[in-house]
Amino acid sequence: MARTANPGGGVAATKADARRRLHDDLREFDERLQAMVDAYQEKPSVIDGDVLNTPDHASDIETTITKVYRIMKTRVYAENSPLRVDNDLWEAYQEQKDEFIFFYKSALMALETYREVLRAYSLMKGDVGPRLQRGDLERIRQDEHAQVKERAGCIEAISDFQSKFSATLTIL
Amino acid sequence: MVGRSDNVVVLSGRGGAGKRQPARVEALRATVGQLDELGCRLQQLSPHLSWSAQRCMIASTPFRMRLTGARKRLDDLVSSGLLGEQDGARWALELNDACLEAERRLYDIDVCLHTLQRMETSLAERARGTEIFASNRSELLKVLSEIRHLITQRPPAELGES
Repeated sequence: MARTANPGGGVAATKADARRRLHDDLREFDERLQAMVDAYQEKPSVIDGDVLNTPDHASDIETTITKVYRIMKTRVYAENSPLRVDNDLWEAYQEQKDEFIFFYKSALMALETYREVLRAYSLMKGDVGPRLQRGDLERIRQDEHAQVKERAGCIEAISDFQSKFSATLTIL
Repeated sequence: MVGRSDNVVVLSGRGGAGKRQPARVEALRATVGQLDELGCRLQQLSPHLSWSAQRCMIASTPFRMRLTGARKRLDDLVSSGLLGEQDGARWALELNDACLEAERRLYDIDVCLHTLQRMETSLAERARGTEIFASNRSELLKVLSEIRHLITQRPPAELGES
């Protein structure tokens, strides 16, 4: 058996296999995030459903972003990362760690802010008075603009996070 | 490391160690590969004045992630005995000069990118940084091409055949 004849080869094969699985998982998350960003850019209001549909649970986009952070933390930046077999690669990822976390935090913060804005906006829209009065249209327009602007900022932050994540994968 | 055979001292990394030749060729080949990859990423990176700090961070990531490895390979070429005495003094000197020039340009580019990636960089500083980057980028690409040419066209002969 090869494993008996060359125990070192067995360990190397296991490491190579762990590295391959990590590559596959990272690419899968990259594709999933990219698909979400594409959908939001094509029709920005799509994100509203993702943000509000599950009030007691994290939204799908937030879950995906958090999973990406977790995989980077536990399998890329970790001391026992399969990438450590290549010292240059390991160092390259360590150097990008702070920047990656900056984009992660920005995306989460933008999502949380937009969720609150969207909730408030939805409540306000539901609060219909007896009848519209002169000047209400201008107020509605301003409210609508504020919500749309916040949404654009949120999509941009998510897109930046996805782009940063994707850019770090080009070295693999 | 120093080896001893009768009264002759053999220094590792010098041309006398014939067995080291394949490893040396492999190391030089890997160096060419890494510098090619770095040059390719640099060619794709062209910061624009209108770019935000975040955009610059994202766009320069593939290039920056290859910097550490490329710097190590350049350092190996200059200081770790990859160039043996059989390589020819003139060739070795030319390659040494080109490597040092590449290291200088890499440093300058790194400084430029650092400026462009800061949120608080003013528009004027951004314009200047973009200009300096473009100039250093062009010079670095030239010197990387020169290093590649020197390595692949000169000894060891096997390298040029691959």
